[in-house]
Amino acid sequence: MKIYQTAILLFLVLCFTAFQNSQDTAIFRAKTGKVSFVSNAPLEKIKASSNKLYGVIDPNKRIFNFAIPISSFDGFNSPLQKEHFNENYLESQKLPKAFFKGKIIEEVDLLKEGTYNVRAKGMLNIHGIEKEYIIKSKIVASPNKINIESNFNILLNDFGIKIPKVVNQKIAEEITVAINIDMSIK
Amino acid sequence: MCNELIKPFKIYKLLVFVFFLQTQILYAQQVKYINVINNQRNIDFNCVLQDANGLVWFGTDKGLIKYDGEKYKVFENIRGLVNAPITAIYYDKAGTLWIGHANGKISTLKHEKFSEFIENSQLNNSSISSFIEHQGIWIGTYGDGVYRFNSLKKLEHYDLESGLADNAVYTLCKDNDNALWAGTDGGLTQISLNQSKVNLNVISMKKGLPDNIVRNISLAKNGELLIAMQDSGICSFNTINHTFKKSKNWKYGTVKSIIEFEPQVFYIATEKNGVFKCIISNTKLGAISKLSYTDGVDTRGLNLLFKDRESNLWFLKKNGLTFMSQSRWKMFQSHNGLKADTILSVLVDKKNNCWVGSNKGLQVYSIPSVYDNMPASLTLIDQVFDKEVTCIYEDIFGNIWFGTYGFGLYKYNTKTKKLKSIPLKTAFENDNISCITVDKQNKIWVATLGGGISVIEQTNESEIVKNYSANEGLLVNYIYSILCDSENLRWVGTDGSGLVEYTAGIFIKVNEKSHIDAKSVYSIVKSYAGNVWFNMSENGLYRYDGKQIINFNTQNGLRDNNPLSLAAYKEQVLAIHNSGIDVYNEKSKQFSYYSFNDIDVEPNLNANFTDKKGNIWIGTNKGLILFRSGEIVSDSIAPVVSISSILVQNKLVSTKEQPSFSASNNNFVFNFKAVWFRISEKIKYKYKLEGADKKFVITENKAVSYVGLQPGNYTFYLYAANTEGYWSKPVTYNFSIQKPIWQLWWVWIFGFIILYISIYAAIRYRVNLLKREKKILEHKVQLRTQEIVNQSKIIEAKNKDITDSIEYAKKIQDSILPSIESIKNSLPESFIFYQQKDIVSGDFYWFANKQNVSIIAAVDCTGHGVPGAFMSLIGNNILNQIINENNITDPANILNNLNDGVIKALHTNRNYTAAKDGMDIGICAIDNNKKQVVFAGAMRPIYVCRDGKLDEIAGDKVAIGTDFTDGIYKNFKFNNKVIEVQQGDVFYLSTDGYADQFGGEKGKKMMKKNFKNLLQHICLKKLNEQEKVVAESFIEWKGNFEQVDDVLVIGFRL
Repeated sequence: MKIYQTAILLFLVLCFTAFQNSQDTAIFRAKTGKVSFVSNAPLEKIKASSNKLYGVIDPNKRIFNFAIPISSFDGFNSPLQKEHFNENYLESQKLPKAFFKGKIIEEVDLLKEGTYNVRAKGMLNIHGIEKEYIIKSKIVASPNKINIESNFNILLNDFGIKIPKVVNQKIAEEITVAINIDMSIK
Repeated sequence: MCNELIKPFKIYKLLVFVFFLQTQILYAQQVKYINVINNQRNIDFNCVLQDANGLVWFGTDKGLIKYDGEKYKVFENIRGLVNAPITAIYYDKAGTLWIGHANGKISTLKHEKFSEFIENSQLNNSSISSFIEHQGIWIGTYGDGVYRFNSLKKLEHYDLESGLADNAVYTLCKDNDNALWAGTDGGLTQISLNQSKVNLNVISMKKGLPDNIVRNISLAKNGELLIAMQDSGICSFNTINHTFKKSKNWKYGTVKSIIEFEPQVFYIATEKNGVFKCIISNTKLGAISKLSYTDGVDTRGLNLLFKDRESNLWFLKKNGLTFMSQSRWKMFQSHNGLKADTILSVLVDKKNNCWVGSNKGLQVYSIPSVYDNMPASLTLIDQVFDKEVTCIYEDIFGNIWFGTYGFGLYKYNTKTKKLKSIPLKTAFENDNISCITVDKQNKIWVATLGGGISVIEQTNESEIVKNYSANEGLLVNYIYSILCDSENLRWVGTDGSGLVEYTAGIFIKVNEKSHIDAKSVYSIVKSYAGNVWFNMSENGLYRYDGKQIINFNTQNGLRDNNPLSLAAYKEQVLAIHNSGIDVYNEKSKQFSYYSFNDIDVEPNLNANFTDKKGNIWIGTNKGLILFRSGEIVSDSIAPVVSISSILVQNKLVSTKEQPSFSASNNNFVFNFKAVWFRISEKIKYKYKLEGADKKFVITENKAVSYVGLQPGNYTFYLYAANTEGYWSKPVTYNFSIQKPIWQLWWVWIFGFIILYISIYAAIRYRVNLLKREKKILEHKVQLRTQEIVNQSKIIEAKNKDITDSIEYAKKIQDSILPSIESIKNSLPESFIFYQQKDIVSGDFYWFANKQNVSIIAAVDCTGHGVPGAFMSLIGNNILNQIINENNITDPANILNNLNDGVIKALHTNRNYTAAKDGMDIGICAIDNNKKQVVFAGAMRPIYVCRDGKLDEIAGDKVAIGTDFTDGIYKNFKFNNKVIEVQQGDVFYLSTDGYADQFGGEKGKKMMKKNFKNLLQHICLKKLNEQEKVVAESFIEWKGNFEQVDDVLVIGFRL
C-alpha cells in the first residue's frame, strides 16, 4: 500500500514538475506570419506582402526574435519593381533576411488570456543595418496561442536604402508596415 | 585648456576644422542660434554640463567641446580620449571629468590630461548613458545595466538579474535623500545604499508609473522627481510617499528631457513635437504651452534641454545648439501679430486681453494664457475703433473707456460690444483726450488737451459730466495727466502750471510749495511707498512725499531729463525715455538702466500700462514693447571670472602657482575672461594690482599689462560684472618680484663679509708676502750684511792700511812743512792756522829764509786729501828746487818757474791736462833790509792790514799749472806786487778753504768779504790772539757742517 501511495505521490510530483517546466519553457512560435508594407508616394502606391514571417516569443522573459526572407515579398506593381526591390534596394541576395529582436516593454503575461497593447522594443535589422525601434503592437492571448497585430512606419533612410532621384516621387521615404502573426506553443 | 593640448589642437583646428559661429540676436538678446559646423558637417550635441568656472562642456558625436560664451574648443583625436561619439559627461567632486562614449568606453580628464578609464576592459560595448557620484561613480549604460566604480577602485555590476528594472538605462538621478534613481526600459529603479549594501527597488507600471520607458529624470526643487517618458508624457514622483502626478491625454510623443526652470515651471523637450512649457502645481500638472518655432527657438531634432547657472536655456540638438536667455523685454510688431506700429495707448484688461490704441484705432489682442513673462505673440481678436486712440481705461464694470484725438471720449461695453460716445460738453468743446482715470468714488476723470478736466459719474445707462476748466478754478485747460490715488487725492499734470493738487474743491500748485518753477507735467504715478512721482519737461523726475519735492535729473542718476512717461510697480518707479528705461528703486535708492540696445524706437507720451505681473507695456512709434520690470534671475547672477593666462616677459606662466619672479621678470600681461552667457559682449571687468595700482580700473578689455614692476609683493584682484552691475567674487593672483641681488640685505652682509674677508685675505696675503719678502730680504740683507761685513772688514783693513798709509803720508807731509819755530825765528809775530779737511792736505805752506829774505807762501793744490797731498808734494818739491836750489827769490819768478815745473812734472809723469790740475798760490818775499814785501799770486791775493785797515792786493788771475806756451796765456808771466812795509803792517796769505766754508746760521758760504772783515777785525790784535780768533771763528762758523776744503791762513806782522 505504502509502495502504491509512494508511487502515486512520486508520479504526481513528476507531473507537477513537468507541468512547471512546460510552463517555464513555453515558447510561442510561428512560421507563417504576414507582413505587408505600403509605399505611398505622390506618383505611385506600391504594396507588397509576405507570409514567411517566422519567430519566437518567450512569454516569461518577454523577449522575442523574428525574421523574414526579403525575397519572399510578393505584390508590387510589376515584376520589374520586385526585381528592383530585391536587387537594387534591399540587395536580398547579399542580405537575404530582415530581423527584429528585442523585448516587450510592458509587464504582460501572454500565457494569460486577454488583449494586451504592448510596445516591442528591439533592434530592427533591414538591409544589414540595425536600428532601434519601438513598435506598438496589439496582442490577443488565448490558451497556448497569441495573435499579434502591429502597424508602424520605417524610414528607408534609417536602413541605408537610397532612392534614386529619378524615382523619388514614386517611392515614399517612409514605409508603412503591417504585421499579423499567429503564434502558438508547440 | 591643458597646455599639452593647446598646440596640437591649434594645428588640428587649422587643418581639419572650420567653425562657423552664427549668432542671431532677436528680441533684445533673447535667443541665439549657435551652429557649430565641424568640417562642413553638423555636430550632434548629446550631453552637457557646466563647470565651476562657468564654462559649458558638450559631449557630441564629434568629440568634446568647451564653450566660454565666445569661443569653442573641440577636443577630438587626442591621446587618452576614446575616439567615439560622446554620450555622457560628468564632473565629480574630485574634479575629474568623466566622459562616456557610444562604444561603451569611458575617458577621463583630470589636471588637463585625458586618459582612458582603467576599467574599460570590464565594460561591454553598451553606450554610456549617464554618470552620477554617490559613494563612488555610478555608470549607467544603455544595454548593460549599471556599474559602480567604488572607492576601492573596483567595478560592481548591477543588471536585470541583480534586480535592476532593465539593462537599458537612460539616466541616473540622485534625490535629496541620497537615493539614486535609474530610468530604464523597465521603469524606475531606486538604488539605495545601506552602508556597503546596495538595494534595488523597481517602480514600474505595476506601481503606478505611467510608462515603463523612462527617458529622463530630473530633481525638482520640491524634492520630487520629474520623469520624462516614452509615450506617456511627463509625471512627477514623490520619492517619500511614492505617489505620482501624471499628465493626462499626452499627445506630444516621446519626452526626451525635462528641466525645472523656475519653481513649478518646467520645460519639456519632445522627440518630434518641440519644446513645451509646463506648470506643475502641488496637486496636478497644469497647463502646457508650446514654444513654437516662431518664438525664436527651433526645437527640431532636440536631444536635451539644459539650464545653466544664469537660468539660460540650452537646446542640444542633433544638428546644432540653440541658446535662449531670459529676456528683459520683447517687441511686438506686425510679424508677431500687431496691426499697427504707432502705439499711443495700451491696457491689459481683467480677462487678460490686450487693448492697443494706435493711429489705426483700437485693437484687442489675446495674450497666451500660459506665459511667465514673455508671450510669444499677440492674436488679434477684435477691432473696436478705427480712429486715433490716445488713452484707454477699464472701469470696475468691465467697460473700456478710451479717448481719441479729435473724436472725443468713448465707452465700450465688452459684454454687449456696444460702443458709446460720451460728449464732454466742455466750455471749449474739446475732443482731444489725453488721460482717463477713476477716483475712489468710481467717477471717471478725463483730461483733455485744451478743455480742462471732465468728471463723469455713471448712473445706470447715463453719464453725468461735470467740467473743470480755468473758469472753475483749474489753472490751465491743457492737461496731460490725472492721478486719483487711494487717499482720494487728485493730482493733475498741466501744461505750464506744473503739478496741481485738487483738494476740497480747490486746485493748488504743488510746485509753489517748494518754490519750483512750474512747467509741463506729462505723467504722474504713485509709488508703493506713497510718494507722488511726476516728470516735468526738461527737468527730469520729481518725487513729492507730501512735504517736499526732490528732483532727479542727469546730475543725480537719471539718464534723460525728458521722460515721456512714468510707471510704478512695487518699489520701482520707471522713467521711460527715448534711450530706454531708468528704474529707480525706492528701497535701494538706486537707479538701474535698461537701454533699447538694438531697437531704434521712440516711446509715445504716456503710452504705457503696468499689468498685474509688473510687466510694463510701452507704446512706441514702431510697435509695442513688453518690459519685465522685476528682477530676472540671469541679471542677478554675476559672471564667473577667471584669469585665462599670464605672460611674464612674453612667456606663459601657470595661473595656479603663485610664484616669485626674479627682478628681471617684471613685465606682466594678464589675460582674463568671464562667463556670462546672456550678454557676454557686455561684461565689464574691474581689476587692481595691489602694490602697483592705487584704485580699481573698470574696463571692457580682457587684458592688462604691467611694465617694469618694482620688486615687492603683488596681488592681482579681478572682478567681472554683468550688465546689471552684479559683480563676481574676486579672483586673485599673488606673486612677488624679488629684489635685484644687489638690493638684498643678506647680499650686502655677504658682500661686506666677502669684502672684509677679501681685504683681510689681501692684507694677510700682503703681510705674508711682505713677511716672506722680509725674510728673503732679511736673508739677503743677512747675506749682504755678511758680505758687507766681510767687505767692510776688508775695507776696514784696507782703510786701516790706507789710513795708516795716509797717516804715514801725513807724517811725510808734515815733515816737509817748514817748522813753526823756523818761521817764528824769521817772523816772530806770525801765526799759521792750518786745518786739513782730511788726514793729508792739498794746502800747504812753504817758508824759506834766503839772504835775509824770508819767502813764505800759502799754496792750495787742486783737490784735497791724498790727491792734494800729492800735488802739495810736487809743489813743495818744485818750490824747494826753485828757491833752495836755484836761489830764486823773486816771487813772480818763483811762480813762473813753479808753473813750468808743475806742467813739466805733470806732463812728463802723468797724462793730465794742464787745465785741470795745478795750484793756487800766494807767495811773498819779505826783505827785512829793504823793508819791502814782494808779493806774487796765482789766483790768490795778499791782505795787508795797515793801521787797522785791511787792503787786498790781488794776485794774477792765472793758476799754477796753466800752459803759457799756447792759448790765451801764451807767454804770460806772473807779476810782483811790491809793498813798502811800515811798522806794524800785518800781512795775511790764505787759501780759499776758509772763505768757502759752509756754515753760519743760514748754512751759507762765509765768503771772502766776511773773511776780510774777520781779518780787519783782528788785525790789530796780537798774532797769537789772532790765531786763536781765526781758529775759533772757523769752528764757530762751521758748526755742524762738514769742512769742505783744507784751510790755511798765514798771518805775520812786520
